[in-house]
Amino acid sequence: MVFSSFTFLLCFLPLTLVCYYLARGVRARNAVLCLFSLVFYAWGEPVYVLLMLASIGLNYLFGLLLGKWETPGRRKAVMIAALVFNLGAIALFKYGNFILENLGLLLGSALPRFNFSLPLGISFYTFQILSYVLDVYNRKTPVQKSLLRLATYIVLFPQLVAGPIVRYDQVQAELQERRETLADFVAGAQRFALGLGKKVILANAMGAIADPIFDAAVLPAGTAWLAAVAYALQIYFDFSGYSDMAIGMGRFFGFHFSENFRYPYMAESITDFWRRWHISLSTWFRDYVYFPLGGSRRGTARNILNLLVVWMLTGLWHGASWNFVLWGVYYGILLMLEKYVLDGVLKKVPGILRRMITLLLVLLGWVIFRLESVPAILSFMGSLFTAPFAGLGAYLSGQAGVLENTFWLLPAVVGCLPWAEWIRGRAEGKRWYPFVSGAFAVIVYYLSVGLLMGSTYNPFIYFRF
Amino acid sequence: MSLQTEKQKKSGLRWAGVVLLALFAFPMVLTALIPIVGQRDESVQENRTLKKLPAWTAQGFLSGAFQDDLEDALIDQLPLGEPVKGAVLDAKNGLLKTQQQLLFALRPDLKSNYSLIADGYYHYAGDAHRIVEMPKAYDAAHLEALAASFRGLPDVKIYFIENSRTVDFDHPAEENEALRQTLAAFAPAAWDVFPVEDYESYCRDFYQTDHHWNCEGSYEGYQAVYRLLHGTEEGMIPAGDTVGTDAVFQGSYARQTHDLCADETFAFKTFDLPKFTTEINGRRRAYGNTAMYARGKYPTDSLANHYANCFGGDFGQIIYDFGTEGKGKLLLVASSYSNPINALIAAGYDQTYVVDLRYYQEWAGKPFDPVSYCEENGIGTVLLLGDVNLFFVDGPEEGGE
Repeated sequence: MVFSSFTFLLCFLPLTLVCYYLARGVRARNAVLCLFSLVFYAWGEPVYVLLMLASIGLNYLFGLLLGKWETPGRRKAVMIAALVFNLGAIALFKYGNFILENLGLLLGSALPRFNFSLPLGISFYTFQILSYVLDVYNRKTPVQKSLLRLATYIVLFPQLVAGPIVRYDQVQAELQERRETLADFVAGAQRFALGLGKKVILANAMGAIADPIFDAAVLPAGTAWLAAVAYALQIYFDFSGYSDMAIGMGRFFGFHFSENFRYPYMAESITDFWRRWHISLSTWFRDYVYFPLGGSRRGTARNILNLLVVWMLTGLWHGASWNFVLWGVYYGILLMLEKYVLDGVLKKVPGILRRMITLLLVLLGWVIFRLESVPAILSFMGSLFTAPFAGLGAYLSGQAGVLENTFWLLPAVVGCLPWAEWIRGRAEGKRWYPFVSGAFAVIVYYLSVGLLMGSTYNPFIYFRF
Repeated sequence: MSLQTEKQKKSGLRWAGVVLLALFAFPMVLTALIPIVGQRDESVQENRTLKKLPAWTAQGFLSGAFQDDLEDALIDQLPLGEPVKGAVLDAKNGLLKTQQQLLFALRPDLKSNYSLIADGYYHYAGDAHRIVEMPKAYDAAHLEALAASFRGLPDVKIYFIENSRTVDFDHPAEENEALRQTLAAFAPAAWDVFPVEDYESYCRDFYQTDHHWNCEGSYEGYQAVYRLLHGTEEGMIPAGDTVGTDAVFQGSYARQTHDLCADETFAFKTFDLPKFTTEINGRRRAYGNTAMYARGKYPTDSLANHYANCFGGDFGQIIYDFGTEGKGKLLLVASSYSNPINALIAAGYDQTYVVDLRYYQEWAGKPFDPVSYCEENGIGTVLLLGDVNLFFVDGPEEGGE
């Protein structure tokens, strides 16, 4: 079930809210949330819900054992078992066929493939579970003795399948005790509506521009650049829209999730970009992989190795395909260059130029991300930089689906700028502000619902990961 | 700020919050009304049967079919859904048309991309429309299966409509391969063809923006069908006036290519028919809205499907009953080409059963078996009427009929 489906918007969400608010006490409300979250998951993955239940049960057990045992050896064994189970599941389901395919290439003969689909949101919930187990192991957080609370944390539907990756320590207190308020609910509804609008109005429109162009064989440069820009906008509004909806829905239920995006296309450097883009993922890798590997404390050579490992894994997290690995390594190299070679130079470059360079590099990164094969990437890069620029008008005249959606390019570009923050900063205390912002959210909500009714184009990019 | 003002402000905000939530909840309330107001069977506007809320089954849930059907049903059955969809489509089309006009104003040379043949809007650069695209290969297996299902019926006739899908305007004299294969497979008792001699005759008999025949073409077709069925012109229904409307018709070609700069006006003919009743998919009710169109009442939204709105949509089964005796019963297996002339053809019989193979099974819950169908209903004559798609294509085509 996707958030922008009618089943979710018109049936599942209202039903969940009614049952949730009819329940009395946090325990009963957790039970409602847990139950509905399992239904939410089973809706898209009727069989894999069993894997989810097994995962909850086993990780609950791992947590209990880590809380009970004091001997370092035993604790380490439990931690390793937890890693093997959780990473094993993701390795099998997400990377199994990728590994077999590449092994087959190495051995010179095709190996048989697994015949199962990718469990929905496995990359997200595995990382959430790992944050719990590793924090308990490192004694950063107490063990959760209530199976219901742990299960609610793991399956909580607002962020179950596409993030943000909510770490256990961020919601631990709210799982135990939380207070839902009208103000929170209203703010959540507005946030949800804006997220829905980002997805339905902007991301879908940008996708309708980018997809046919990326699928075309021969492209003039102007058309290729249009696709690169449209895809960058699509993935931002798609993913940040989903995060907004998750954060908004969290507030319906009294949870306060951390922000996952902070105007990433305003970044002044690649380092800055990754402080603004998918923040929950980059901080997860920083805290659970980069720091444990030694971070930058063990010398330059080790730091370079650590960066490469972390970014290769970041790429691989996004999908079982070499283009994702390449994309991760691309960022690893850019970050190394920024840190060790260009640091002094970049500081002297004017801010606007730094932003443009960063944006250009990010756009090229999305091309690698979008195209699955190296020849396709090279061909598209060739179109971007070596093809004749003219031809965009002719292309648009023959592609009504693309032309129609170019209307949304300007609102999408404006939507990437922090104007909303700027307005909020100046108007938040004003009497009219809540009414105007509320009215804007209602308009966006109804426009989204209307567009959803009139359109069937509605895929979520991040559901693949 | 005084405590009183602060309290008033908080109270105002609380009410604003409640109003906001009520606005958000409105579509959800509408959804809850579906079981109360009842579910609709079909949409004339979209010319299709609407999905209904599915019954839950474990098997359906595990396969995901229940989830898909529920989503489709919600979109179809939501109260106010149709006007909302229409408004959204109108807005999108208006936007696209403005953009196209702007683009052509900036680059007049690009306009030629839309008009490959004469001044008809039949070609779209990079997306060649099928009017210039001859069918590459016919599905002979489908034709054979269809023909086999009619074997054993003594009086099967065929009226084959040539159109842009089967006529190559560059080589109009070439033998119609689809017709040859159809006749070979059916070996009908009698047959005739609606000929498209050249591009000029095509323009005369068919819409410019739609694949169907226009009111001139369809009446010409009716006359030929009457002669084929009755062997005479006696008893043929004469055409009345041709009524022009100011309804802008942007038919299937315009809809499929999103070419909103293409439009034409919509016209139809009136007929003086004896009284008759129609039963659509088992429910007795009127078919088509020609009378409404004659009174000037028709949708004005862009891309409105006037062909279906005016003449009637596509349904699994329509039964015409003229309340006469001794004229026999006819089975008319047809696609949407027959919609404007169903009643005319049916006037020659006591009862006429019009079956659209694309929708019959969905409605009846079983495949169409012509032999047992004719036996059950005492039908003596069978006519298959349609273009190449009726004989070679299984199911509704993309873009709708």
